[in-house]
Amino acid sequence: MDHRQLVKDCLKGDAAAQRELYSMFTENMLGICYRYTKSMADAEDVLQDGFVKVFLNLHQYKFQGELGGWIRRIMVNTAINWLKKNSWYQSDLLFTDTALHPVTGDDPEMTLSAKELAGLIRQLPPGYQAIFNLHAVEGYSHVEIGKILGINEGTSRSQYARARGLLISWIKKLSTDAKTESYARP
Amino acid sequence: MQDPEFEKQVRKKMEELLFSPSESVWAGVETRIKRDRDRRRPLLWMFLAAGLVLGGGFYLLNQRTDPSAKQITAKSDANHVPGAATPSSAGSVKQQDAHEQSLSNDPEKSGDGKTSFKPNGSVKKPASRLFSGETHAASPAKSDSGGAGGTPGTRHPSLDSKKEQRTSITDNSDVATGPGATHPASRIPPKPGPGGTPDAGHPTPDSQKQSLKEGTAATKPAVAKSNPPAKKKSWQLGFTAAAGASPIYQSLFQGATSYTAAPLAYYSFSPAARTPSRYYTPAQPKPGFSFSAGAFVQKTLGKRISVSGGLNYHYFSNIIQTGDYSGYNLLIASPNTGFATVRGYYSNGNTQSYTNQYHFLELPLNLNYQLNQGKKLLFFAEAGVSIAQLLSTNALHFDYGTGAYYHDNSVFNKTQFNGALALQAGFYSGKTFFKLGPQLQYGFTNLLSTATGDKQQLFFLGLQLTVIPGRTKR
Repeated sequence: MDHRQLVKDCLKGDAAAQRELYSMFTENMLGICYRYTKSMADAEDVLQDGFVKVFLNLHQYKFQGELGGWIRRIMVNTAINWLKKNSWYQSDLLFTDTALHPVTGDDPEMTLSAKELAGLIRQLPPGYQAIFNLHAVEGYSHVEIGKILGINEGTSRSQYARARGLLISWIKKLSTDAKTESYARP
Repeated sequence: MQDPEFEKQVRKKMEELLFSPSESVWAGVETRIKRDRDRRRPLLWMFLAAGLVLGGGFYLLNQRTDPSAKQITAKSDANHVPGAATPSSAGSVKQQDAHEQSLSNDPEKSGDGKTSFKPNGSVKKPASRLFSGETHAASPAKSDSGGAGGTPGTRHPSLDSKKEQRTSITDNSDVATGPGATHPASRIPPKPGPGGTPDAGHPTPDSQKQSLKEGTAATKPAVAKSNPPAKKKSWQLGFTAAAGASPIYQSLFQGATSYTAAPLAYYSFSPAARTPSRYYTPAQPKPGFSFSAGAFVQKTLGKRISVSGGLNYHYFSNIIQTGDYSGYNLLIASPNTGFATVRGYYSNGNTQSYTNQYHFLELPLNLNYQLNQGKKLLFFAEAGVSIAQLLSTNALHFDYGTGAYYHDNSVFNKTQFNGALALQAGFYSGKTFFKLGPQLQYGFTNLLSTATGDKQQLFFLGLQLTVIPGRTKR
């Protein structure tokens, strides 16, 4: 879909066009913000910050690539900056609680819904959560994540492995529980 | 090695993740956009208002100057021609002669200059025309009582003659052309030559006639004796243009930009302050072409001093060597917004030249001092300040971590405060005054507005040309 006219109208300050653009992407973008935060209120804060940036920098969008992709990048950057501002996530990067060490084994079959999976990702410690989102969902390399979060590439790699393992173990556990529950049913 | 299947499944699932935000989110977005727009608007209005004030001020002052100049001219007529209202007086006959002469020089009336005045049959006509012109500019109501026999005026209801209308239109155009033109004698084109220069003041009809009859040699003394000093235009409109080069300096005395100390500061904004194991060095910018053009109004404060203010467009540029362009995304450490992904960048290298361009709107305020009292060539020193607003730029910003050049307009200070110095040689060509000479401008404000403290000061060095049309010799 070509959003050229919509963007032009937004740049002219057309409030209706701005609202339309917001409505078009808001649900998807809130999903992104939700994955990086711990509460819906925080996710909405990030979403608001992100859309303000979108509208104030819309003149920089040169119609190269998808508008949705451009907005998505802004949302991710906003979420990361929000995490940095609330720098509590820093300490979690050094999280080494053995209780959280992953269960190794084969990758599980993904039977969870999107919301259930997002709920599990949000239960990861904040540092793990950010690294997992950046690598597994956004597709950033560990070198890039290292730059973004101010950590070594190796740290990012190892933290991701732990986050991944942890998530897999939770998914497996949930799947097993669900199966047990279904078997138990008459 | 991890199986990427899990990541693929996660990515796919997360694409399906949709939530509807509460209405307050949009309300907040809307409010903040509006607030930001309101914050930016005053700056734009400030420039527009300054332009309007300058233009309006010039117009009003010009309007105020014109009637007074006319009054002086009119009074001088009355002094020289006491019997102006009496058709039989010698003075009025002389004046009529002068006006007939002037009318015959008017292309509008060259065919029927004399006959057009016959229906009124009043030798007072030229004087009344003079006053009608004055009252027109000052107060239309006064024109009704401007003189016996009916003063022709564009808004006078008693006008019924086409010839009179034509005359009145000419009167009106006189008002528009300035104080000198309101005098009937000023219709006579200036006579070239030593005694008849266009700047020889405003000759009265007597002197004008005398000069016409007796030749140019007698003109100057006659003018000196009979003319009261005509009031000079206090404000003058001029135009300026300059062209040269615009280097970028780190500071006034530190020469070309050097980034060597920057990287440490550059990375200190990061949550975990650190020094990168490797950083790149950007290319030194070379001076590029620069020019400016604008208009100004100038007021004479003393015999040698004048002040001017105006509005200029100023273009700056500098050239850097970069590597090839890539349209891919790149993660950079933006000095203001933290880590960000930019789409499209130039790599570090020497494969091509890139011109950083800056477009500014400037409001300059200058003080001019005339250094000598020569007759042909005058020298001026000019010093001034200006406030400038960055309209747009395509300039690239350098990322030390990746060595890439990318666009980020948020790193520039949009409002600049400049100082300027100029030396100029001035000369007249006809009624136009020209000034030409070198100009130096220095940007006191750091061009970069980054948390890292990088410094870039814009310089301009070039040749400036100033043109003041219709300026009278001092």
